[in-house]
Amino acid sequence: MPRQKKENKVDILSIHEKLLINRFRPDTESHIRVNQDACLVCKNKECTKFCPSRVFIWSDTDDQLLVTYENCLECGACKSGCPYEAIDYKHPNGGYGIGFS
Amino acid sequence: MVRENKYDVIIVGSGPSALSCAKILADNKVKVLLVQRSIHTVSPTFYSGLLFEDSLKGIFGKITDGKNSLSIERVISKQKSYVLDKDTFTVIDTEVNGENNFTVLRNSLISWMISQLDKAGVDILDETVVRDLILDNNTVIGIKTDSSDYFASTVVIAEGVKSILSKKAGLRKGEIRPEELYLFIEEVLELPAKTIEERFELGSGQGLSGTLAPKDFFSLNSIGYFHTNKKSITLGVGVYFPDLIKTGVNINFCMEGLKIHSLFRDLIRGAETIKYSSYILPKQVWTPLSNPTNLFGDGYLIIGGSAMMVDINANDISFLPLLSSKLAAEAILNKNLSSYQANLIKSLKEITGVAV
Repeated sequence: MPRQKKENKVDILSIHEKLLINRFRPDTESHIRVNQDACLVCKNKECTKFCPSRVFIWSDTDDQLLVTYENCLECGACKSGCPYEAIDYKHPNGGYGIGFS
Repeated sequence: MVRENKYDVIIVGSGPSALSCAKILADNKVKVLLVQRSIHTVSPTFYSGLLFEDSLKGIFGKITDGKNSLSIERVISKQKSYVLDKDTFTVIDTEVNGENNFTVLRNSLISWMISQLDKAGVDILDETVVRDLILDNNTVIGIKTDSSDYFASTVVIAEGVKSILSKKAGLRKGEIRPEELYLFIEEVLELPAKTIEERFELGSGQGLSGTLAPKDFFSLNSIGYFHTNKKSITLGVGVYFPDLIKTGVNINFCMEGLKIHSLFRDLIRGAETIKYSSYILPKQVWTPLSNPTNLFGDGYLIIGGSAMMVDINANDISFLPLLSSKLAAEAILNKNLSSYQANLIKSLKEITGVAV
């Protein structure tokens, strides 16, 4: 759904809305792998909070971390920010990922 | 175009550091292969958008060079620092040095630089990820990509702060700790040129560059910046990464907080966000004491962001990365790789006046 432009107001946006602005060329496989065993014992699930594009979502029903790598802005913060070093971040394959037009 | 698999120098990366190093070497008749992840002119690299012409001197041709000139957004005529309180602020005007400082759009700058590399005879391999280095008796002799291997006397690593290759190849010990990083997000907000000039009190074609020092910004250690482009405003905010991890605050919340701060809310009224990006930068500039990673070894050099050669508090944030490019190229031309790190330390000492 296109965003409605708010004339003469400051445009306050959620991360979700911001992600719609960018152009992504997602690969069919994820460039981010997580060790789910660590996620199960991880109490605070920090990655679900600090990621600037909310790539990581904890699913209570599946008891696992969902990785929406298609939205990744490729900052690489996750591999440093995971207290269990359970996030394996690689570059997306050549030509894939975020394209800043 | 790539002709064969053996080069004098392979450069990994497509940011200003990588491109500058390639240009100097090619101008000195060195056979260079530049390997980049992105397609030819679209770069996922981080670049602030401020261009201080002096930093490019001796590397690239003149910015305004007839039909090959770089497309400039605005000439920086005002430079200000802001200390932000909860909803008030204090302004400090800083002097603008000369008329050779500009705002540019990242992709315009990168494609301009790449067109100059093409002319200088650099081979460029696009859409290619370097997955590992090739070693022979602890000497780096080449690179491994998803498709082929390439060999060179020297490999220059300019892969950015993420340092994925340096870690994989064992040149960097362990993962970068959160304590070493600031996490940044940046937005480009679109507004008509005339509105920008009215609101920021700028003449036609003139621009403003500002740095932000938030005081007690949601109890997070943070910094920010903004500058005016032709028809948009770039606004960036960076937070000490451990503070975000500890508090569970998402940095997007800080950005939105900044937008409704009294400094900005009237300036960006009605603006539409047209770009959202994120990147990490080092809290501290590399020094041999603060960082155990050696920036040189047999057959390789590490430059730019991947060398943590970035000063987030500097007015010209591209100064140190480009300095490292120049010194690396010099060391390669003099066939003395170890002189790179020694000269870098010497320069850092001269700049900061402190022994490093």
